[in-house]
Amino acid sequence: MNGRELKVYLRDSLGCGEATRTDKKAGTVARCKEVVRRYGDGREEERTGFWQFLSDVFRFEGLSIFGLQAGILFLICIWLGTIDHIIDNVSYYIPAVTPLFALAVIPPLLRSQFYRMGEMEAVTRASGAEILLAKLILAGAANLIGITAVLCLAMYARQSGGGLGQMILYGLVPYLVCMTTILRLIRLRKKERLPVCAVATTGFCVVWLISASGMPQMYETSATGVWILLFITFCGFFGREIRFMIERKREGKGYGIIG
Amino acid sequence: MELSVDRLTKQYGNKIAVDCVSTVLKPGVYGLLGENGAGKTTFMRMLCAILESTSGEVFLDGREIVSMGAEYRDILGYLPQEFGYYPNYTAREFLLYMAALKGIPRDTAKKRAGELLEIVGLNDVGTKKMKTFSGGMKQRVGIAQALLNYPKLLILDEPTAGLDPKERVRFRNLISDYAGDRIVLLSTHIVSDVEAIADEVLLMKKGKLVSQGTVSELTKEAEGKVWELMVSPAEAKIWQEKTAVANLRHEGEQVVLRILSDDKPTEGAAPCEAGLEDLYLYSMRECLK
Repeated sequence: MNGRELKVYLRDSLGCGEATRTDKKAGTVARCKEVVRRYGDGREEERTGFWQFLSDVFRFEGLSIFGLQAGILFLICIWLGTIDHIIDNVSYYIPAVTPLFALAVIPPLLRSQFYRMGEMEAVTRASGAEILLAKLILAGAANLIGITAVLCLAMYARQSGGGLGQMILYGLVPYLVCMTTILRLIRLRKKERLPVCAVATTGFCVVWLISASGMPQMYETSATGVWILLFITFCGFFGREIRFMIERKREGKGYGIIG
Repeated sequence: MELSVDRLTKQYGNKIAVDCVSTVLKPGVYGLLGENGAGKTTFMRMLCAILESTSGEVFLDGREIVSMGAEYRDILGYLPQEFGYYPNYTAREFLLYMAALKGIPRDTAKKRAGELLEIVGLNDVGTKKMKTFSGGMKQRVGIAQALLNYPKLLILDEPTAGLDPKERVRFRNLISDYAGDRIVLLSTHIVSDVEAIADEVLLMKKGKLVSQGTVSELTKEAEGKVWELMVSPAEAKIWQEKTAVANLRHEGEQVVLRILSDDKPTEGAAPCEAGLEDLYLYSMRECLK
Protein backbone atom coordinates (compact mmCIF):
# COMPACT_ATOMS: atom_id res chain seq x y z
CA MET A 1 0.00 0.00 0.00
CA ASN A 2 1.56 3.31 -1.02
CA GLY A 3 1.07 6.66 0.72
CA ARG A 4 -1.64 7.85 -1.66
CA GLU A 5 -3.67 4.67 -1.26
CA LEU A 6 -3.30 4.89 2.52
CA LYS A 7 -4.54 8.50 2.53
CA VAL A 8 -7.57 7.53 0.43
CA TYR A 9 -8.25 4.59 2.70
CA LEU A 10 -8.00 6.73 5.84
CA ARG A 11 -10.21 9.46 4.33
CA ASP A 12 -12.82 6.92 3.29
CA SER A 13 -12.73 5.16 6.62
CA LEU A 14 -12.54 8.02 9.05
CA GLY A 15 -14.04 10.94 7.27
CA CYS A 16 -17.47 9.56 6.33
CA GLY A 17 -20.09 12.10 7.13
CA GLU A 18 -20.06 14.32 10.18
CA ALA A 19 -19.06 11.85 12.83
CA THR A 20 -16.31 9.29 12.83
CA ARG A 21 -17.67 5.78 12.54
CA THR A 22 -16.41 3.77 15.49
CA ASP A 23 -16.53 0.40 13.73
CA LYS A 24 -14.61 1.75 10.73
CA LYS A 25 -12.08 3.42 13.00
CA ALA A 26 -11.33 0.17 14.84
CA GLY A 27 -10.89 -1.61 11.53
CA THR A 28 -8.57 1.11 10.26
CA VAL A 29 -6.46 1.06 13.41
CA ALA A 30 -6.08 -2.69 13.04
CA ARG A 31 -5.20 -2.33 9.37
CA CYS A 32 -2.63 0.41 10.11
CA LYS A 33 -1.07 -1.71 12.83
CA GLU A 34 -0.78 -4.56 10.36
CA VAL A 35 0.86 -2.28 7.76
CA VAL A 36 3.35 -0.90 10.30
CA ARG A 37 4.12 -4.37 11.59
CA ARG A 38 4.63 -5.77 8.10
CA TYR A 39 6.73 -2.90 6.77
CA GLY A 40 8.57 -2.33 10.01
CA ASP A 41 9.72 -5.92 10.40
CA GLY A 42 10.30 -6.59 6.75
CA ARG A 43 12.89 -3.84 6.45
CA GLU A 44 16.40 -5.19 6.61
CA GLU A 45 18.26 -3.19 9.21
CA GLU A 46 21.61 -1.84 8.18
CA ARG A 47 24.66 -3.50 9.73
CA THR A 48 28.22 -2.22 9.90
CA GLY A 49 31.05 -3.84 7.95
CA PHE A 50 34.34 -5.09 9.35
CA TRP A 51 36.24 -1.79 9.04
CA GLN A 52 33.51 0.13 10.80
CA PHE A 53 33.54 -2.59 13.43
CA LEU A 54 37.31 -2.26 13.75
CA SER A 55 36.91 1.47 14.24
CA ASP A 56 34.30 0.82 16.96
CA VAL A 57 36.60 -1.65 18.70
CA PHE A 58 39.37 0.96 18.53
CA ARG A 59 37.01 3.49 20.11
CA PHE A 60 36.31 1.21 23.06
CA GLU A 61 39.53 -0.79 23.40
CA GLY A 62 42.14 1.36 21.65
CA LEU A 63 43.18 3.28 24.72
CA SER A 64 43.84 0.16 26.79
CA ILE A 65 45.65 -1.62 23.94
CA PHE A 66 47.93 1.29 23.01
CA GLY A 67 48.27 2.46 26.61
CA LEU A 68 49.60 -0.91 27.74
CA GLN A 69 52.04 -1.04 24.84
CA ALA A 70 53.25 2.48 25.66
CA GLY A 71 53.67 1.45 29.31
CA ILE A 72 55.71 -1.61 28.31
CA LEU A 73 57.86 0.50 25.97
CA PHE A 74 58.52 2.95 28.78
CA LEU A 75 59.54 0.15 31.18
CA ILE A 76 61.80 -1.41 28.54
CA CYS A 77 63.55 1.91 27.97
CA ILE A 78 64.11 2.35 31.71
CA TRP A 79 65.40 -1.20 32.09
CA LEU A 80 67.76 -0.99 29.11
CA GLY A 81 69.03 2.32 30.46
CA THR A 82 70.17 0.65 33.69
CA ILE A 83 72.30 -2.02 31.94
CA ASP A 84 76.07 -1.44 31.80
CA HIS A 85 77.69 -1.47 28.36
CA ILE A 86 74.29 -1.58 26.71
CA ILE A 87 75.79 -0.07 23.55
CA ASP A 88 77.87 -3.24 22.96
CA ASN A 89 75.17 -5.75 23.95
CA VAL A 90 71.93 -4.16 22.87
CA SER A 91 71.27 -6.83 20.19
CA TYR A 92 71.33 -9.55 22.86
CA TYR A 93 68.59 -7.87 24.86
CA ILE A 94 66.17 -7.28 22.00
CA PRO A 95 64.87 -10.89 21.97
CA ALA A 96 64.28 -10.65 25.71
CA VAL A 97 62.15 -7.51 25.50
CA THR A 98 59.93 -8.09 22.44
CA PRO A 99 57.90 -10.89 24.14
CA LEU A 100 56.89 -8.23 26.68
CA PHE A 101 54.89 -6.54 23.94
CA ALA A 102 53.07 -9.83 23.37
CA LEU A 103 52.53 -10.08 27.13
CA ALA A 104 50.81 -6.69 27.10
CA VAL A 105 48.39 -7.99 24.45
CA ILE A 106 46.94 -10.63 26.80
CA PRO A 107 44.77 -8.35 29.04
CA PRO A 108 42.81 -6.74 26.17
CA LEU A 109 42.45 -10.07 24.33
CA LEU A 110 41.12 -11.86 27.37
CA ARG A 111 39.27 -8.97 28.96
CA SER A 112 35.83 -10.38 28.19
CA GLN A 113 36.66 -13.60 30.01
CA PHE A 114 38.07 -11.77 33.00
CA TYR A 115 34.88 -9.71 33.32
CA ARG A 116 32.59 -12.66 32.41
CA MET A 117 31.35 -10.95 29.27
CA GLY A 118 32.33 -13.81 26.95
CA GLU A 119 28.89 -15.39 26.73
CA MET A 120 27.13 -12.10 26.06
CA GLU A 121 29.66 -11.10 23.41
CA ALA A 122 29.61 -14.52 21.76
CA VAL A 123 25.94 -14.19 20.78
CA THR A 124 26.45 -10.86 19.05
CA ARG A 125 26.87 -10.57 15.29
CA ALA A 126 30.62 -10.13 15.74
CA SER A 127 31.04 -13.35 17.78
CA GLY A 128 34.31 -14.34 19.42
CA ALA A 129 36.38 -14.69 16.24
CA GLU A 130 35.66 -11.24 14.83
CA ILE A 131 36.18 -9.50 18.16
CA LEU A 132 39.47 -11.31 18.71
CA LEU A 133 40.61 -10.58 15.16
CA ALA A 134 39.82 -6.88 15.52
CA LYS A 135 41.67 -6.68 18.84
CA LEU A 136 44.58 -8.59 17.33
CA ILE A 137 44.85 -6.15 14.41
CA LEU A 138 44.93 -3.20 16.81
CA ALA A 139 47.34 -4.96 19.16
CA GLY A 140 49.53 -5.98 16.21
CA ALA A 141 49.70 -2.37 15.06
CA ALA A 142 50.61 -1.26 18.58
CA ASN A 143 53.22 -4.05 18.81
CA LEU A 144 54.80 -2.98 15.53
CA ILE A 145 55.08 0.58 16.77
CA GLY A 146 56.62 -0.63 20.04
CA ILE A 147 59.10 -3.01 18.41
CA THR A 148 60.06 -0.37 15.84
CA ALA A 149 60.65 2.12 18.65
CA VAL A 150 62.90 -0.37 20.46
CA LEU A 151 64.87 -1.01 17.26
CA CYS A 152 65.23 2.73 16.65
CA LEU A 153 66.49 3.19 20.20
CA ALA A 154 68.97 0.35 19.66
CA MET A 155 70.22 1.99 16.46
CA TYR A 156 70.48 5.29 18.27
CA ALA A 157 72.40 3.71 21.17
CA ARG A 158 74.85 2.09 18.79
CA GLN A 159 75.09 5.23 16.69
CA SER A 160 75.04 2.91 13.68
CA GLY A 161 72.51 1.33 11.34
CA GLY A 162 74.63 -1.80 10.83
CA GLY A 163 73.09 -5.16 11.66
CA LEU A 164 69.53 -3.79 11.47
CA GLY A 165 68.32 -6.84 9.56
CA GLN A 166 69.64 -9.17 12.25
CA MET A 167 68.12 -7.09 15.02
CA ILE A 168 64.74 -7.21 13.29
CA LEU A 169 65.02 -11.00 13.29
CA TYR A 170 66.10 -11.02 16.97
CA GLY A 171 63.03 -8.97 17.79
CA LEU A 172 60.41 -10.65 15.62
CA VAL A 173 61.24 -14.34 16.18
CA PRO A 174 60.60 -14.30 19.98
CA TYR A 175 57.56 -12.10 19.42
CA LEU A 176 56.08 -14.55 16.90
CA VAL A 177 56.81 -17.50 19.20
CA CYS A 178 54.88 -15.77 22.01
CA MET A 179 51.95 -14.63 19.88
CA THR A 180 51.55 -18.07 18.32
CA THR A 181 51.57 -19.65 21.78
CA ILE A 182 48.97 -17.19 23.07
CA LEU A 183 46.64 -17.69 20.09
CA ARG A 184 47.00 -21.44 20.28
CA LEU A 185 46.20 -21.47 23.99
CA ILE A 186 43.11 -19.33 23.39
CA ARG A 187 42.00 -21.49 20.45
CA LEU A 188 42.32 -24.67 22.47
CA ARG A 189 39.60 -23.32 24.78
CA LYS A 190 41.54 -24.03 27.92
CA LYS A 191 40.10 -21.49 30.26
CA GLU A 192 42.46 -22.53 33.01
CA ARG A 193 45.37 -21.73 30.75
CA LEU A 194 44.79 -18.00 30.68
CA PRO A 195 47.41 -17.43 33.39
CA VAL A 196 49.56 -19.94 31.53
CA CYS A 197 49.67 -17.49 28.60
CA ALA A 198 51.22 -14.90 30.88
CA VAL A 199 53.61 -17.37 32.52
CA ALA A 200 54.68 -18.82 29.15
CA THR A 201 55.35 -15.36 27.70
CA THR A 202 57.35 -14.28 30.74
CA GLY A 203 59.20 -17.59 30.53
CA PHE A 204 60.14 -16.87 26.91
CA CYS A 205 61.64 -13.52 27.99
CA VAL A 206 63.82 -15.29 30.55
CA VAL A 207 64.86 -17.99 28.07
CA TRP A 208 65.94 -15.42 25.49
CA LEU A 209 67.71 -13.43 28.20
CA ILE A 210 69.67 -16.52 29.30
CA SER A 211 70.45 -17.33 25.69
CA ALA A 212 72.03 -13.89 25.35
CA SER A 213 74.64 -14.70 27.99
CA GLY A 214 74.78 -18.50 27.57
CA MET A 215 74.82 -18.74 23.79
CA PRO A 216 76.35 -15.53 22.40
CA GLN A 217 77.22 -17.43 19.23
CA MET A 218 73.48 -17.29 18.40
CA TYR A 219 73.89 -13.57 17.90
CA GLU A 220 76.78 -13.71 15.50
CA THR A 221 76.56 -13.10 11.77
CA SER A 222 77.13 -16.80 11.07
CA ALA A 223 73.87 -17.64 12.87
CA THR A 224 71.71 -15.43 10.67
CA GLY A 225 70.56 -18.47 8.67
CA VAL A 226 69.19 -20.08 11.83
CA TRP A 227 67.28 -16.92 12.68
CA ILE A 228 65.83 -16.69 9.17
CA LEU A 229 64.76 -20.32 9.41
CA LEU A 230 63.13 -19.69 12.80
CA PHE A 231 61.45 -16.58 11.45
CA ILE A 232 59.96 -18.44 8.47
CA THR A 233 58.84 -21.35 10.65
CA PHE A 234 57.09 -19.19 13.22
CA CYS A 235 55.61 -16.94 10.55
CA GLY A 236 54.02 -20.12 9.20
CA PHE A 237 52.63 -21.13 12.61
CA PHE A 238 51.39 -17.62 13.32
CA GLY A 239 49.83 -17.38 9.86
CA ARG A 240 48.06 -20.69 10.44
CA GLU A 241 46.47 -19.41 13.66
CA ILE A 242 45.35 -16.21 11.93
CA ARG A 243 43.97 -18.17 8.96
CA PHE A 244 42.00 -20.38 11.31
CA MET A 245 40.58 -17.30 13.02
CA ILE A 246 39.62 -15.71 9.69
CA GLU A 247 37.92 -18.93 8.61
CA ARG A 248 35.90 -18.99 11.84
CA LYS A 249 34.97 -15.34 11.27
CA ARG A 250 33.85 -16.06 7.69
CA GLU A 251 31.78 -19.00 8.87
CA GLY A 252 30.34 -16.72 11.56
CA LYS A 253 31.33 -19.13 14.30
CA GLY A 254 32.64 -18.51 17.78
CA TYR A 255 36.26 -18.85 18.76
CA GLY A 256 38.13 -19.77 21.88
CA ILE A 257 36.68 -20.38 25.30
CA ILE A 258 33.06 -20.54 24.23
CA GLY A 259 32.50 -22.45 21.05
CA MET B 1 8.99 -17.70 11.95
CA GLU B 2 9.43 -21.08 13.55
CA LEU B 3 12.17 -22.42 15.79
CA SER B 4 12.24 -26.21 15.75
CA VAL B 5 14.22 -28.13 18.30
CA ASP B 6 14.90 -31.67 17.22
CA ARG B 7 16.00 -34.19 19.85
CA LEU B 8 18.46 -31.79 21.40
CA THR B 9 20.79 -33.48 23.88
CA LYS B 10 23.73 -32.31 25.92
CA GLN B 11 25.84 -34.70 27.90
CA TYR B 12 28.72 -33.88 30.25
CA GLY B 13 30.53 -37.14 30.91
CA ASN B 14 27.95 -39.43 32.52
CA LYS B 15 25.54 -36.61 33.32
CA ILE B 16 22.83 -35.77 30.81
CA ALA B 17 22.02 -32.07 31.19
CA VAL B 18 19.45 -31.92 28.37
CA ASP B 19 17.85 -35.15 27.31
CA CYS B 20 16.40 -35.42 23.82
CA VAL B 21 14.27 -32.27 23.92
CA SER B 22 12.04 -31.67 20.92
CA THR B 23 9.66 -28.76 20.54
CA VAL B 24 8.50 -26.12 18.11
CA LEU B 25 8.40 -22.47 19.09
CA LYS B 26 6.26 -20.07 17.07
CA PRO B 27 5.83 -16.33 17.71
CA GLY B 28 4.72 -15.72 21.27
CA VAL B 29 6.03 -15.67 24.81
CA TYR B 30 7.25 -18.97 26.22
CA GLY B 31 8.00 -19.50 29.88
CA LEU B 32 10.55 -22.15 30.76
CA LEU B 33 10.04 -23.58 34.20
CA GLY B 34 12.09 -26.11 36.07
CA GLU B 35 13.99 -26.61 39.28
CA ASN B 36 17.70 -25.78 39.62
CA GLY B 37 19.73 -28.18 37.52
CA ALA B 38 16.77 -29.11 35.30
CA GLY B 39 18.77 -28.10 32.22
CA LYS B 40 17.10 -24.78 31.43
CA THR B 41 20.29 -22.77 31.04
CA THR B 42 22.02 -25.49 29.02
CA PHE B 43 18.98 -25.69 26.76
CA MET B 44 18.94 -21.91 26.27
CA ARG B 45 22.67 -21.77 25.56
CA MET B 46 22.24 -24.40 22.86
CA LEU B 47 19.38 -22.38 21.37
CA CYS B 48 21.80 -19.44 21.24
CA ALA B 49 24.39 -21.63 19.45
CA ILE B 50 27.07 -20.84 22.01
CA LEU B 51 27.09 -24.38 23.32
CA GLU B 52 27.50 -27.33 21.01
CA SER B 53 24.94 -30.04 21.48
CA THR B 54 25.99 -33.65 21.94
CA SER B 55 23.26 -34.60 19.48
CA GLY B 56 20.17 -33.09 17.94
CA GLU B 57 19.71 -29.86 16.05
CA VAL B 58 17.88 -26.55 16.14
CA PHE B 59 16.33 -25.11 12.99
CA LEU B 60 15.04 -21.64 12.32
CA ASP B 61 12.56 -21.76 9.47
CA GLY B 62 14.14 -25.00 8.33
CA ARG B 63 17.75 -23.77 8.47
CA GLU B 64 20.19 -25.18 10.98
CA ILE B 65 21.14 -22.34 13.36
CA VAL B 66 24.87 -23.08 13.71
CA SER B 67 25.30 -22.97 9.93
CA MET B 68 23.41 -19.65 9.80
CA GLY B 69 26.22 -18.04 11.83
CA ALA B 70 26.06 -14.23 11.93
CA GLU B 71 22.69 -14.24 10.17
CA TYR B 72 21.22 -16.10 13.15
CA ARG B 73 22.95 -13.96 15.76
CA ASP B 74 21.64 -10.89 13.94
CA ILE B 75 18.08 -11.74 14.93
CA LEU B 76 18.98 -13.06 18.37
CA GLY B 77 18.84 -11.26 21.70
CA TYR B 78 20.17 -13.05 24.76
CA LEU B 79 20.42 -12.31 28.44
CA PRO B 80 22.56 -14.89 30.25
CA GLN B 81 21.71 -15.97 33.77
CA GLU B 82 24.97 -14.65 35.14
CA PHE B 83 26.68 -11.97 33.20
CA GLY B 84 29.53 -9.63 33.83
CA TYR B 85 30.11 -6.07 32.74
CA TYR B 86 33.00 -3.74 32.25
CA PRO B 87 32.96 -1.79 35.52
CA ASN B 88 34.35 1.42 34.05
CA TYR B 89 31.69 1.70 31.38
CA THR B 90 28.64 3.81 32.01
CA ALA B 91 25.28 2.20 31.22
CA ARG B 92 25.12 4.19 27.97
CA GLU B 93 28.70 3.23 26.98
CA PHE B 94 27.95 -0.39 27.75
CA LEU B 95 24.92 -0.32 25.45
CA LEU B 96 26.92 1.45 22.72
CA TYR B 97 29.66 -1.16 23.05
CA MET B 98 27.17 -4.01 22.75
CA ALA B 99 25.53 -2.21 19.80
CA ALA B 100 28.92 -2.03 18.07
CA LEU B 101 29.34 -5.79 18.52
CA LYS B 102 25.85 -6.29 17.13
CA GLY B 103 26.85 -4.30 14.05
CA ILE B 104 24.44 -1.43 14.67
CA PRO B 105 25.61 1.84 13.10
CA ARG B 106 26.67 4.53 15.59
CA ASP B 107 23.82 6.98 15.00
CA THR B 108 21.18 4.27 15.29
CA ALA B 109 22.95 2.86 18.35
CA LYS B 110 22.97 6.22 20.15
CA LYS B 111 19.27 6.71 19.51
CA ARG B 112 18.39 3.18 20.50
CA ALA B 113 20.53 3.20 23.65
CA GLY B 114 18.65 6.31 24.79
CA GLU B 115 15.28 4.74 24.03
CA LEU B 116 16.11 1.52 25.85
CA LEU B 117 17.51 3.29 28.90
CA GLU B 118 14.23 5.16 29.05
CA ILE B 119 12.24 1.93 28.69
CA VAL B 120 14.11 0.14 31.48
CA GLY B 121 13.94 3.23 33.70
CA LEU B 122 17.64 4.04 33.77
CA ASN B 123 17.71 7.21 31.71
CA ASP B 124 18.67 9.38 34.67
CA VAL B 125 21.65 7.16 35.57
CA GLY B 126 22.77 6.44 32.00
CA THR B 127 26.00 8.39 32.49
CA LYS B 128 26.91 6.68 35.76
CA LYS B 129 29.44 3.87 35.84
CA MET B 130 27.98 0.40 36.05
CA LYS B 131 30.14 -0.52 39.04
CA THR B 132 27.98 1.81 41.12
CA PHE B 133 24.76 0.04 40.08
CA SER B 134 22.69 -2.30 42.23
CA GLY B 135 21.99 -5.87 41.09
CA GLY B 136 18.55 -4.93 39.78
CA MET B 137 19.92 -1.99 37.79
CA LYS B 138 22.59 -4.19 36.19
CA GLN B 139 19.87 -6.69 35.33
CA ARG B 140 17.89 -3.92 33.61
CA VAL B 141 20.96 -2.92 31.59
CA GLY B 142 21.27 -6.61 30.64
CA ILE B 143 17.67 -6.65 29.45
CA ALA B 144 18.27 -3.45 27.46
CA GLN B 145 21.32 -4.88 25.69
CA ALA B 146 19.34 -7.96 24.70
CA LEU B 147 16.79 -5.71 22.97
CA LEU B 148 19.32 -3.49 21.16
CA ASN B 149 18.96 -5.17 17.78
CA TYR B 150 15.17 -5.60 18.10
CA PRO B 151 15.66 -9.37 18.01
CA LYS B 152 13.09 -11.63 16.44
CA LEU B 153 14.19 -14.33 18.84
CA LEU B 154 14.68 -13.17 22.41
CA ILE B 155 16.09 -15.59 24.98
CA LEU B 156 16.17 -14.43 28.58
CA ASP B 157 17.62 -16.57 31.33
CA GLU B 158 16.18 -15.56 34.71
CA PRO B 159 15.44 -11.98 33.58
CA THR B 160 13.45 -11.05 36.66
CA ALA B 161 16.12 -12.18 39.14
CA GLY B 162 17.01 -9.23 41.35
CA LEU B 163 14.19 -7.01 40.14
CA ASP B 164 11.84 -5.49 42.70
CA PRO B 165 8.06 -6.03 42.25
CA LYS B 166 7.59 -2.69 40.47
CA GLU B 167 10.37 -3.48 38.03
CA ARG B 168 9.02 -6.98 37.49
CA VAL B 169 5.69 -5.52 36.45
CA ARG B 170 7.45 -3.05 34.15
CA PHE B 171 9.44 -5.93 32.64
CA ARG B 172 6.33 -8.05 32.15
CA ASN B 173 4.58 -5.21 30.35
CA LEU B 174 7.67 -4.57 28.23
CA ILE B 175 7.87 -8.20 27.12
CA SER B 176 4.14 -8.42 26.43
CA ASP B 177 4.32 -5.29 24.26
CA TYR B 178 7.50 -6.42 22.59
CA ALA B 179 6.53 -9.99 21.73
CA GLY B 180 4.08 -9.42 18.85
CA ASP B 181 5.25 -11.70 16.08
CA ARG B 182 8.54 -12.49 17.77
CA ILE B 183 9.59 -15.52 19.77
CA VAL B 184 10.39 -14.75 23.40
CA LEU B 185 11.66 -17.54 25.63
CA LEU B 186 12.27 -16.76 29.26
CA SER B 187 13.20 -18.93 32.16
CA THR B 188 12.34 -18.06 35.72
CA HIS B 189 11.56 -19.52 39.10
CA ILE B 190 8.85 -16.94 39.64
CA VAL B 191 5.77 -18.80 38.44
CA SER B 192 3.57 -15.70 38.66
CA ASP B 193 5.75 -13.97 36.02
CA VAL B 194 5.25 -16.86 33.63
CA GLU B 195 1.56 -17.04 34.47
CA ALA B 196 1.17 -13.33 33.71
CA ILE B 197 2.89 -13.10 30.34
CA ALA B 198 3.58 -16.51 28.84
CA ASP B 199 1.41 -17.77 26.02
CA GLU B 200 2.87 -21.21 26.53
CA VAL B 201 4.81 -22.87 29.29
CA LEU B 202 7.58 -25.44 28.91
CA LEU B 203 8.24 -27.50 31.99
CA MET B 204 11.65 -29.16 32.31
CA LYS B 205 12.64 -31.79 34.77
CA LYS B 206 15.98 -33.59 34.94
CA GLY B 207 16.89 -32.47 31.44
CA LYS B 208 13.61 -33.61 29.89
CA LEU B 209 10.75 -31.53 28.61
CA VAL B 210 7.89 -32.99 30.64
CA SER B 211 5.04 -30.65 29.69
CA GLN B 212 4.25 -27.96 27.17
CA GLY B 213 1.05 -26.03 26.75
CA THR B 214 -0.85 -22.90 27.59
CA VAL B 215 -1.28 -21.93 31.23
CA SER B 216 -4.91 -23.07 31.20
CA GLU B 217 -4.02 -26.38 29.53
CA LEU B 218 -1.34 -27.06 32.08
CA THR B 219 -3.39 -26.05 35.08
CA LYS B 220 -6.02 -28.51 33.90
CA GLU B 221 -3.40 -31.23 34.39
CA ALA B 222 -3.23 -30.27 38.05
CA GLU B 223 -6.97 -30.17 38.56
CA GLY B 224 -8.21 -32.68 41.12
CA LYS B 225 -4.74 -32.92 42.59
CA VAL B 226 -4.84 -29.91 44.89
CA TRP B 227 -6.45 -30.18 48.31
CA GLU B 228 -6.86 -28.02 51.34
CA LEU B 229 -6.83 -29.46 54.80
CA MET B 230 -7.19 -27.78 58.17
CA VAL B 231 -5.16 -29.47 60.91
CA SER B 232 -3.48 -28.73 64.20
CA PRO B 233 0.18 -27.54 64.17
CA ALA B 234 1.34 -30.95 65.43
CA GLU B 235 -0.53 -32.77 62.67
CA ALA B 236 0.79 -30.28 60.09
CA LYS B 237 4.33 -31.51 60.75
CA ILE B 238 3.28 -35.11 60.13
CA TRP B 239 1.48 -34.16 56.90
CA GLN B 240 4.57 -32.29 55.70
CA GLU B 241 6.64 -35.42 56.14
CA LYS B 242 4.30 -37.80 54.38
CA THR B 243 2.84 -35.68 51.54
CA ALA B 244 3.77 -32.82 49.23
CA VAL B 245 2.62 -29.62 50.92
CA ALA B 246 2.64 -26.67 48.53
CA ASN B 247 1.61 -24.07 51.06
CA LEU B 248 0.96 -23.68 54.74
CA ARG B 249 -0.89 -20.86 56.46
CA HIS B 250 -2.08 -20.26 59.99
CA GLU B 251 -5.72 -19.54 60.71
CA GLY B 252 -6.13 -18.94 64.42
CA GLU B 253 -4.96 -22.04 66.27
CA GLN B 254 -5.23 -24.20 63.17
CA VAL B 255 -3.02 -24.65 60.13
CA VAL B 256 -4.36 -24.81 56.57
CA LEU B 257 -2.30 -27.05 54.32
CA ARG B 258 -2.36 -27.01 50.53
CA ILE B 259 -1.61 -30.59 49.62
CA LEU B 260 -0.68 -31.94 46.20
CA SER B 261 -1.90 -35.48 45.81
CA ASP B 262 -3.40 -37.70 43.11
CA ASP B 263 -5.99 -38.99 45.54
CA LYS B 264 -7.92 -37.33 48.29
CA PRO B 265 -5.42 -37.42 51.15
CA THR B 266 -8.03 -37.76 53.90
CA GLU B 267 -11.75 -37.41 54.46
CA GLY B 268 -11.47 -33.84 55.75
CA ALA B 269 -9.55 -32.55 52.71
CA ALA B 270 -11.40 -30.28 50.32
CA PRO B 271 -10.55 -29.98 46.62
CA CYS B 272 -9.49 -26.52 45.48
CA GLU B 273 -8.74 -24.69 42.26
CA ALA B 274 -5.33 -25.45 40.78
CA GLY B 275 -2.89 -22.83 39.48
CA LEU B 276 0.29 -23.05 37.43
CA GLU B 277 2.35 -23.03 40.60
CA ASP B 278 0.47 -26.11 41.76
CA LEU B 279 1.31 -27.93 38.55
CA TYR B 280 4.93 -26.83 38.83
CA LEU B 281 5.15 -28.01 42.42
CA TYR B 282 3.19 -31.16 41.61
CA SER B 283 5.76 -32.13 38.98
CA MET B 284 8.51 -31.49 41.54
CA ARG B 285 6.55 -33.01 44.40
CA GLU B 286 9.23 -35.47 45.48
CA CYS B 287 11.36 -32.44 46.41
CA LEU B 288 8.60 -31.15 48.68
CA LYS B 289 8.43 -34.22 50.87
